[in-house]
Amino acid sequence: MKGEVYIKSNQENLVYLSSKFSKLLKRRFGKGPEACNVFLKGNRFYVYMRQFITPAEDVLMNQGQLELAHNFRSTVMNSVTQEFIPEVSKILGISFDYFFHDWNYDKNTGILLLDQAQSNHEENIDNSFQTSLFHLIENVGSKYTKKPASFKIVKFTQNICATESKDVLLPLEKLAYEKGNVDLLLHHAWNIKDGYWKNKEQFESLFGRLIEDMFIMWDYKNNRNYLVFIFNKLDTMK
Amino acid sequence: MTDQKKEEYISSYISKLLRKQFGRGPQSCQTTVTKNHLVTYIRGFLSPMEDILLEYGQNKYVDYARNVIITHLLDEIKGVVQVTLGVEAVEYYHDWNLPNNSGVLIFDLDTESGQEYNSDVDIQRVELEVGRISFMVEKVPDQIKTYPISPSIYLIERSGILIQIEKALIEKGFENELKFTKDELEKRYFHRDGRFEDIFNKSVMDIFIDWNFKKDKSIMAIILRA
Repeated sequence: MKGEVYIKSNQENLVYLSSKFSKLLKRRFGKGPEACNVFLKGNRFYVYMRQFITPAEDVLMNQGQLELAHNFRSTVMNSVTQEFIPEVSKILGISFDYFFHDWNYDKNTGILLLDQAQSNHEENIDNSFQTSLFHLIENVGSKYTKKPASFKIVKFTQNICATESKDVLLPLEKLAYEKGNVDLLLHHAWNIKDGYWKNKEQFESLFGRLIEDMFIMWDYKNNRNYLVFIFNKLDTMK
Repeated sequence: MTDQKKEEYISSYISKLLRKQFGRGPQSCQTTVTKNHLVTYIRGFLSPMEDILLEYGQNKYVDYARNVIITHLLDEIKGVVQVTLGVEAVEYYHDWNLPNNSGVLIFDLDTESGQEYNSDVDIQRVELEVGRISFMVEKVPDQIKTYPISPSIYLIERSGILIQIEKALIEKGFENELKFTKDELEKRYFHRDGRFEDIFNKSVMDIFIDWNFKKDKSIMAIILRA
């Protein structure tokens, strides 16, 4: 019974935070997302957004100014997230040290992840599956990026699978980050994500689920990334 | 519709369009049509997104993004001007002063539409002063023309303004960077060294400048306190 009460109140907290974040985005961007789903696992807090693109971004994209739209959004998102974090910390009793976000303009979806320096939660799942996924990520990614030194699945449900890979940057990427070549890294990150997306079927057959969306969030400072798969809710693969 | 009603209609249309596109409409939007020019003076235009970007010192992004979005909207505004006034807008310009949170849209009309405004200001002095400041920054324009729009709005058109290095930069695709740099540089000189308050006998609220690099010309709007 106690557990049930806790789950309910935690669920209510998440609904409140989802609505709070949606309103914050609306206030800062002039338009909020149509859907804003939040997930919590260990000390990692995820927000998945649909239909986020504002009319201004729409114009920028149509004029071939995707980079400008992205830089615009990133700056505003950094400010909005810093405003949001104290509220999440207060409600959930978790402190956060980092946040990352990634946006798929072609699918009009985005993700935000709040993370803690001490986050060590990993999903307790079949080791052979984790190894297979790691090998697939290694193989697919080898054309685009460095082989990670370590890998773990940090969230795995019917809706989402999130993985964390460490030591993922090539010396050139590190240098670009140190020199502040944000635009270069941005294009490179898009290229890597496109590479994974082209190999979607391989991941789908491993998961046994249809993949609706995919994000990669880069933590250049700590030399790691999060790869997130969002599964199609309606279809499962036969 | 009377001329004033037409101006109000265009102002209201622009205001709604900006609200739709930026998530926030301007605080005020005033259109004046005089002979071959339509000028819309906009105040309090910054959107919440742009506010944040400015806080973070990202003026260049605001400038570039607004430029792209407004250029896209100008075609639609041009259509509204055409339908409302029954004349065609052949050229358009726009400029935004972020520190003052104000902006201007300027349309050259192919046919005279509004009433003429007869100014009692010494236009020759205005043009000499514009030439003097232009020379301080770069070169005296080949030609300077002044168009009084209302007691508080004067347009000054300068032709033959680019020097060789600028033409080369434009050819190499550095148009945006050049515009951003010229905007800062010229406005600084016109505000700091211009003796316009003395010439107009009114305080200067805003100076806007936009360029048509292809035609090697620029249009400047001086907004005076009414």
